Parts: sequence; C-alpha cells; structure tokens
Amino acid sequence: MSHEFDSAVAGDVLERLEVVVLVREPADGGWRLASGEPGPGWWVTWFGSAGEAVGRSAFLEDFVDRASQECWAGTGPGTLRSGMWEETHAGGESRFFEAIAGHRPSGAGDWLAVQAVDDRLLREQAILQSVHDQRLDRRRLQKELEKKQILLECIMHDLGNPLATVLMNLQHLGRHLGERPDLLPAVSRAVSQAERQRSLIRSIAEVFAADLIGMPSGEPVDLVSVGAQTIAALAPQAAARGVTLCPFFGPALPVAAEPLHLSRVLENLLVNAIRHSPDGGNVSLSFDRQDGEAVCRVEDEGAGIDDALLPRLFRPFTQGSGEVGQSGLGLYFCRLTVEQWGGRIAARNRPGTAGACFEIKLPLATGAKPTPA
Amino acid sequence: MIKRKICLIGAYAVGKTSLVRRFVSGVFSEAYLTTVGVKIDQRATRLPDGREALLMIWDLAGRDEFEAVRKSYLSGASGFVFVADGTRRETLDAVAEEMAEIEPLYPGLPAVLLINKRDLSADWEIDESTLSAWRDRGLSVHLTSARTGEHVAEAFDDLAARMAGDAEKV
Ligand SMILES: Nc1nc2c(ncn2[C@@H]2O[C@H](COP(=O)(O)OP(=O)(O)OP(=O)(O)O)[C@@H](O)[C@H]2O)c(=O)[nH]1
Ligand SMILES: [Mg+2]
Repeated sequence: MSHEFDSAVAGDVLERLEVVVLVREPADGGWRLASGEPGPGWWVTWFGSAGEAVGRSAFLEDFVDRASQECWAGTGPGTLRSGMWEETHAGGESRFFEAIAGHRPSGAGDWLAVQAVDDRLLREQAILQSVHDQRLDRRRLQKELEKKQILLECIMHDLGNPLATVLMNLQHLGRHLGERPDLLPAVSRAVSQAERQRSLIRSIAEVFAADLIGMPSGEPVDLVSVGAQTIAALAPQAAARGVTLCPFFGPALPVAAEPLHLSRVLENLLVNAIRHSPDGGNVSLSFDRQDGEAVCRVEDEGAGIDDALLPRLFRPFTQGSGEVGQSGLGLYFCRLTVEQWGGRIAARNRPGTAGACFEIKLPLATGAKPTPA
Repeated sequence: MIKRKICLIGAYAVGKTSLVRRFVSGVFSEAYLTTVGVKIDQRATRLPDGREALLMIWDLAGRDEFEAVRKSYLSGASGFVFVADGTRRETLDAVAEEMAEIEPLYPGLPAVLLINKRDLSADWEIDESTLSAWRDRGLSVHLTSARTGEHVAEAFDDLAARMAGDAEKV
C-alpha cells in the first residue's frame, strides 16, 4: 500500500517537473517507461514511445549510442548530462530538452531521464543574448569611431598641410613684392582667406575630435581650476580688445570630463564673449553648484543674441550677422562635448541688462573614482 | 542512406545558425537570436561517388569568452565547418583557437573554413593574404553569405566531397 503511494507521489513530481524516466534491464535490453506507457502528452508528441524515442531524435540517438557509452559500460561517470537541445516534431513545433544517462552499479541496469527545459533555456538565452548584443554594439561603435578617426586624419593632413604651404608662400610673396606694391592688397586678401580656411579646418577637426577623444578620463576633473587656467591664458587677448575678465571662483566642482576638451569648451565660450564685448566691457566667468550639478556661466555685456538665432545657436554652421570669418562650429563643438559627458549647454540674453549668458551644466562626479575598465 | 555528422564551430553571431537555415531551408533572417544548446538539422546530399548521404548538421552555441564549445558534442563527427565573420577579424582568431584544441583530438578530419557575411563587403576586415595563409595549411576556404546564399551550398558540398574521399581511404 505505502509503496504504491510512494510511486504515485514520485509520478506526480516527475509530471510536474516534465520529466520522463526510461529504464532498461540487462535481461531484455530495450527501453521502457518507468511509469508505464504511454507517458505524458508532450513525450508522445515529441518522442513517440520508449521504443521509438532514440530513433526519432538524432540528438538522443547520439547521446545514447555514443556520448553515454562509457557510462553504460560502467567505465565512465555514473551519470551524464546531455546539455540542452532543441527538438522539432513532425508538426514543426519545437521544444527544448535535456537528458541524463544513469548506470546502476553491478549491472543492475540503466536509466535515461528526459526533461523539458524550456524555462531554463529561455532564462539562459536572455542572459546570453544581452551579453552578445552588448558586445556587438560596443564593437560597432568602436568601428564607427575608427572610421571617423581616419576621416579626421584626412582632414588634418590632406586639407591642412597643403594649405600651410600655400600660406607660407603667400607670406613670402607679400614680403618680396618689390616693384609691384600694387599687388600687396591682393596678396593680403589671399592670405586672410587662406587663414580663414585654416581655422575652419581646425574647427571641423575639433568637432570630430569631440566625438572621438573627449571620453572622460578616469579621475574627476575640477571644473573650477580648469576654468581658472583657461581664463588666465586668455588675459592678453581680452586686454588687446579692451575687455576686462572677471572670474568668480568658488569651491572645487569635480566633474567626469576630459580636461583638455573641457578647457577648449570654456575657451570657446570666453573667446566668443570677448569678441562680442564692447570696448571697456566685462566678461565674467562664475561657478555654482545646483541640484547635484556643476554649473559654469560665461556672461558678457554685448548686444546679446538675436532671438531668431537662439534656437539654432548650437547647431553646426550657425552664424550671427556680421560674423563672417567664423566657422559656425565652435558652439556646436561645445554642445557635442558637454552632452557626451551627460551635461547640457544653454544660452540666453541676460534679463534687465545688456549681454548674453552661456551656461553649461555637468553632473557632479560623486563617490569613489570609477575603476578603469 | 548513410548518415554523416558535421559540426559548425565558430564565435557568437558569425552566422552559423543562418548558414544552416540557408542550406537546409533556403531562408534567411536579419534578426539575431543567439543559440543556446544544440540543434540538429538534416539535409540529403549526393556524394561524388554517387551515394546519397544524410548530413546531420550540428549547430552548436557560439563560443564566447565564458565557454568553449563542448568537446563531447564533436565525437563521431565526420567533418567540421569552421565559421568566421568577415566583418570581425577577431572571429578568425577564435577559429584558430578552436582548431588548435580540436585538431589533435580528430587528426586529419575533413574541415572547411567559411568566412561569412560576404555581402557586407564595405565592412570587410579580412584580407586575401590572411586567407591564403589558411589555405596553405590545407584548409579549403569559402567566402559565403547566408543572406544572399552565395557559396553556401558549395561550401557544404565541398566538405561532403572531402568526407567521401576520406572514407574511401580508410
Ligand atoms: N549581412 C549578413 N548578415 C548575416 C549573415 N549571416 C548571418 N547574419 C546575421 O548575423 C547575425 C548572427 O547570425 P546567427 O546565424 O544567429 O549567428 P550564430 O553564429 O548562430 O550566433 P550564435 O548562435 O550566437 O553563436 C544575425 O543577425 C544574422 O542575420 C550574412 O551572410 N550576411
Ligand atoms: Mg546560432
């Protein structure tokens, strides 16, 4: 009575786990279902019967006749797992299974368990899929960057180098015009156009570089000290235009950025402000901490930004009136760079007073420095 | 009909499953569903000696950084199809690694090398001189595309032909 109960429970558990157990005894050598034919529906659909199963499934055949040989002979491991495989039945539907081979000691017989394992497979599939997708994505990105790098080198060398020669020769010509001083204006025009072109090439290269190498360095960078260095370097330029630089430093603001690019961004904003300042005007550089972000503002006392221009300001090749000679890429470079570090850049006209205000916000780098990958 | 087991071996996403699907069912899908576990597909082919053979094609989960291909699956194979992705040169290194492990276990077993995704020629990363180095090792190399079907059947047929020749020698 109790033995019957035990095997009834065992049967329920196997059914719940979607496991079928085949056994074979040395006497007859054929497989039969331990729980009696025909077995559960899925078993019948995918494998037929104990007698047919091995012939029907190429994988099971390989596993039973080949992989498990040592197990059956008692010379290998007592049990052996097949690993998961996909089985498609005649109707075209497929499911995933795993088999386990077992050998009873001293020639008592063999058993073969077959389990439906779709759930486990789906879990493993999801994990591996995301790992593989991520790796492929990262690789694609890397390749994209490599292509840009090549283009960048092309811009610098193939466009930039000949131009340097042109400029050098024009200047040489200009110095030795001798009998033809009337040609001097023409040469100067050529020189200034070539110089414009050179600065355009530099700007384009910078925009590309913003994409390429502006990745944050491992350690946080102090926005305030980068600002201090940048503004100090611009003092002569400001003085030449009669503009006063007014820095307002505060406590350090660590951000995840790349110092050289950060300095170029600030330089771009400051040079812009100086250029748009009236004689005797002030350009201020100030810092602040706001909602977990580092804020940096550059303000001038110029005519401000044309309303029509505001929405397009940070797009490539945007130029204000009377700005011929500028590449129209400087602010675009700033935006690309700042956004790459998870920050934002904005511009507005200062309320109640003349002039423009440019503001960049960068997430504050908090906690321990990230360990390099 | 004689059955012959062949195994596809190569890094993840090189196109093993796609090549089998192209060869067996004549279809291709752009979607990438990484293979977990083993799938066996069959296709009949005629060997050069006129006999018909059923190729049992084992599509194995792609090797990645965590796991090499389970060597127990390879036992009983009559031939190997190594697959690399022509747009990812490192997948050829993965083939080299697998081969170094497998060759000593199955010396002289017929094998072909498929450099897949030939249709993506703009992103191609494997040059002819690299390939001739592989050919010099006696391996036959096929530039395939599971997407267009280019050279796919030829590659499998080539392997089948080599297996036949091999069997006659024994
Ligand atoms: N363009 C192109 N794409 C291909 C080609 N072969 C496969 N693919 C694509 O490459 C991706 C991976 O193909 P799979 O066949 O799944 O690669 P696999 O080697 O079986 O990958 P794992 O199962 O992860 O080892 C899929 O998005 C396919 O559509 C091909 O010849 N040309
Ligand atoms: Mg696959």
